[in-house]
Amino acid sequence: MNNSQNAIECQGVGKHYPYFRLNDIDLAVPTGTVMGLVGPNGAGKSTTLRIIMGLVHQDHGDVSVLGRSMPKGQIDAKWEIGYVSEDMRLHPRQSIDFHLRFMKSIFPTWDDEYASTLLDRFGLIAEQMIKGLSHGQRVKASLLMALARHPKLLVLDEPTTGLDPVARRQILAEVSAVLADESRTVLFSSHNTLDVEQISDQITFINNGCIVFTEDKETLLDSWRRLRLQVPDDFAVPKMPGLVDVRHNGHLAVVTTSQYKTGIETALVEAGALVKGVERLTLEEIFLTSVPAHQEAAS
Amino acid sequence: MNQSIVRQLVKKDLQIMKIPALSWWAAGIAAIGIAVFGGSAFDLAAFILFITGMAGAGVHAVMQTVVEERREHTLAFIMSLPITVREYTSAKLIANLAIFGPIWLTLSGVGCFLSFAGDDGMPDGTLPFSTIVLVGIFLAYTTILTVSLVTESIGYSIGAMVGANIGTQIYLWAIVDLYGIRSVIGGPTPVWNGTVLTILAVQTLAIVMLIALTYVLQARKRDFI
Repeated sequence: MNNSQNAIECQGVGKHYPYFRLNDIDLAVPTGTVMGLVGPNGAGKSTTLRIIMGLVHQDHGDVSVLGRSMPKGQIDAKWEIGYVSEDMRLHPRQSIDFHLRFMKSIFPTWDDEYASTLLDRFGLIAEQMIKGLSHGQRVKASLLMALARHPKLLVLDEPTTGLDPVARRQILAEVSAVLADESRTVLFSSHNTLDVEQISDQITFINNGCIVFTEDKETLLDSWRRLRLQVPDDFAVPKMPGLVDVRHNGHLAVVTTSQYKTGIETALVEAGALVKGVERLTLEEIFLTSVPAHQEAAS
Repeated sequence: MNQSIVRQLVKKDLQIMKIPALSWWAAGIAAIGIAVFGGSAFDLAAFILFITGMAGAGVHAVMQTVVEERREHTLAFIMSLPITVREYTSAKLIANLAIFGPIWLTLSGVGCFLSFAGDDGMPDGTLPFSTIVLVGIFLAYTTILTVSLVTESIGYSIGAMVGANIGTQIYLWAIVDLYGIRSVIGGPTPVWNGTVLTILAVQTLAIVMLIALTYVLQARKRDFI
């Protein structure tokens, strides 16, 4: 299964907990891309990332990270992975400097100059104790620890949750900057679709422990459309591929499709509708439409 | 095993525990000072402070470096580093034993020396039983360390502390009644008879087995956060 083009490959990966099941997920993250893993709370994002990190062992399925089979090859892989999780904490009664020295003692690739740059950029003071930091500062400090060792792969589990807009922008800017080196890859989970839309090349929707789909961001945003129609009394939407949602309100109808093609308007007009507008959907709208559709299909 | 990374993890825990460990050690030394210079009226207070200093050092180290690491979500940070479970377990055992061991050893050594030195000290025949008590404290500590490392749970760790405390008292009451102990305990010279040596050997073996059991149980874990 090792495709060297992919930094991460998951095939049929499952994990069973008493109240949650990750269902045979398949995921491939090409090297040099930012993959945004989007899903509601409890969808399985953190479990997936923890399995990829080797922190949780899958019950079945194959996971390969940077060419190493996980969890068996996790030690070799972790030398090249930077991991930041929303629920990960540094030692609260120690300073940032304590952690910088600790990380430097472990990673030969540690870059003091870059660490200093990040300290300045994030507005952190090395002598500050972790317990005195705000949530945003703690996330920045964790990100600093991950970035200053120049990892090939950055795994970020909800790093922007609970951050103010300024801190969010700083975090996302730094993550984007990582990709100046084309051999580096980012896997980034969030339920904030705006963040994901901002920095991702590829997007995976996950819901109820299942991958809903994985798509290139531009292709995804291009293929979804909302059509606003004026329709007669007896109007029936003609059969069309990718029809996700139809809503009627008197003589007005809104049709959402995930496989938009120019011929769709013609088909609707031929069925008796007057196309009043064709709108692109934001990632959030796509998410909010596709997740209930997936839930409905699953049930 | 990557010894360098184990060394760094141990160093980190020793740095974190530096001030608390020195404080507990100082409390133990103060207890000995009270016993020696405070007169017999302060013996009970000195004994309580001595035991408190020793127990406090061990329990504080275990809670801070193992249980708190899980509770405060620092474990995810540590386990995201390139370390194996065996290296993590080794680092925690070495760090904790490096904190408790010297405190236990110096307090035991100084305590015994001052208690048995001179004509007005405790009868020398009590030395073997005192040694059993002190090794028993180390065994109780190892039990707490094993339970905490394997379960990473405050509840189980507190349970282990209570169990080790009560268990040690019952165990000491039971062995002090053994003929091999009872018959020599108040004598003028220490007698290291078969009973004493067997008990010490069993205690030492139990300590080694608990450490080995910690490795075995840790190796079976599949999830670390």
